[in-house]
Amino acid sequence: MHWTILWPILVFFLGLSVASLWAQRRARLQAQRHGFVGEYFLGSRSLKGFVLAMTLFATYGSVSSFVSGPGLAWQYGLGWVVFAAPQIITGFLLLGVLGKKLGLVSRATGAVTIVDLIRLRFNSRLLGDVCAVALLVFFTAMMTGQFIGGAAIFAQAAGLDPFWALLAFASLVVLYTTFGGYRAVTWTDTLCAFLMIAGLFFLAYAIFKNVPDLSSLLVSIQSQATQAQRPDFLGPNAGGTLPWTLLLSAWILVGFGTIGLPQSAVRCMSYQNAQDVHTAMIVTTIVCGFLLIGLTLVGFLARGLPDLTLATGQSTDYLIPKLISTQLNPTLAGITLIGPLAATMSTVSSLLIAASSAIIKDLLMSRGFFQKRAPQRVHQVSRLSTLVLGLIALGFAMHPTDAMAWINIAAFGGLELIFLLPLLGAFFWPRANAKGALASIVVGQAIYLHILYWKTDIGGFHAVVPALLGATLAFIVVSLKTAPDRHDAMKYFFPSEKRPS
Amino acid sequence: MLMSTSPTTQTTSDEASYTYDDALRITHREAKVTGWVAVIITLFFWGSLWLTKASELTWHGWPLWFLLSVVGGFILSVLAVVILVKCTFKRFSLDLKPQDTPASEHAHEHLP
Repeated sequence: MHWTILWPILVFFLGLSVASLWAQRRARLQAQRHGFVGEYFLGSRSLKGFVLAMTLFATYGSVSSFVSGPGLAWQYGLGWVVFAAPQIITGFLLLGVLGKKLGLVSRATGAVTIVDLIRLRFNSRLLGDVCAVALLVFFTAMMTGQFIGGAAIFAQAAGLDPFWALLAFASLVVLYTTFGGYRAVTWTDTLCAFLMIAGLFFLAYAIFKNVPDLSSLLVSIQSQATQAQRPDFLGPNAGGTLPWTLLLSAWILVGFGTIGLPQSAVRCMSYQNAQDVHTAMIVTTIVCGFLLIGLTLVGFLARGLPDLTLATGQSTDYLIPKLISTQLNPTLAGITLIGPLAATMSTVSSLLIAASSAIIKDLLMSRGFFQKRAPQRVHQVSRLSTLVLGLIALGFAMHPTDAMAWINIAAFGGLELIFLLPLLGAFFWPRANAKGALASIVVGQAIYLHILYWKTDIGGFHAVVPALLGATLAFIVVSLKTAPDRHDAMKYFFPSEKRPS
Repeated sequence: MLMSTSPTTQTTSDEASYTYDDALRITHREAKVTGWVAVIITLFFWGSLWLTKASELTWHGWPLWFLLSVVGGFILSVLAVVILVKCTFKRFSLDLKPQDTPASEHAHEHLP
């Protein structure tokens, strides 16, 4: 273990702690004025545009952005950059399509969660419960995956025991989320976003410091591409190794489908005014595209370093830790490690506070659980639920199970299949109803999980594509075959001429 | 100058004022335009990639298809969102209620 690697990370942890304590202080004042639930789960809708952009980006970018993505780009070349490219639209798509609608409707209805809005729009407790439970299951698995990935890179690059590496950063993020709530999450996300960007530059430095220029790297990569049994590193589909259908699927999975990610969508309810959305659209587009594609390019360019190799059969997830530990001095290695750690912690904190809101707001408060109890109960139970959920994910990370790993793999697409169509239907299709939404969820999940479990080849398409097609068909057919929604809450979602008569 | 119109949010004095239904119509239009912009960028990306993937032209070692589709696509998306925001999106207060909402309708959770 090198203390020279650890000290920058300890300074980072200290910075997060200070930011969260500051946020907690502010949160206490706001909670007194505007109510605990709105403050703890939505920061009293106080986010300015730049912070909104940073928290969206930090929530979306995760440990896989720093580890798996670059590793696969090292393996497949620019073809994996093609896979990552849909993220040039991710930045503005959610905010432009749903940002102001969510802001408008959530203010008028007092909703503080995405499930609140879905339950209200479709007038269905069952649909709300299904969405809340699915969110809880998938988010717990995703947090577990983030903890495992973050601990691995921390332990490998810093020479730490994985147990202590995990305990160190996981306990910090669980604690500041528990006691600081949404405001602490977004403030620490902003700090993490800057450090993620810095991490990209340090990784690039690790590559370029020992080469004369960029052209020499590309020449080295080109020469490797001509070797037998190597993919075409400079081609758009790795010489056929990456099916075009998979690359097209990425525009659903990490492109248009990201509209349906609830951990991102909830941020569209937490800003101050319309200008904040506009600012965030521009900033997020620039930052998301630059960083997420930039990181993949780092992995591609690392192929040009002759000394950077992996043992036969070794996972490409080891590439970035190896790059950090072999190419940088201990202090710079420690500073560079902050990037992926920041990505992990920012994603976990967002998932954790949203998962806690699913329990408190979506499952308990929607049933009037706190109305007959002392009001201060909601403070205690909210914090307790956040803490317990965080500890459960930490527990799974310390004792990984195959089931949790499998759910994590399915989580990203699974969440999109649960929330994308109900959200789009809720806000854009007056004829959409609860039965249609439920049918889309059941059909979508069934197709998706079947394909993933049996590893069915569907012409190279990612499982989310046929699942989404099936879910869409189910949504339309069942909605049209059953009665439209005509309840009073429709006035919040559609102007008078669009509501079913 | 900032005017506070609700305890939890702030609006600026140069925001237009609309009814709730008008605001819904505007957000619907903005959403459609955003969707179309995303589709156009997607088509540009795949069109430029497909048309140039077989080309052996490079610039400083970078293949032409990469420069056009990935780099060009990124630049196009940044330009598109700036134009979208500056020319198409409207600034208006989001603290609105539907016109037939009774004054007594309880919309907010009042928990400590």
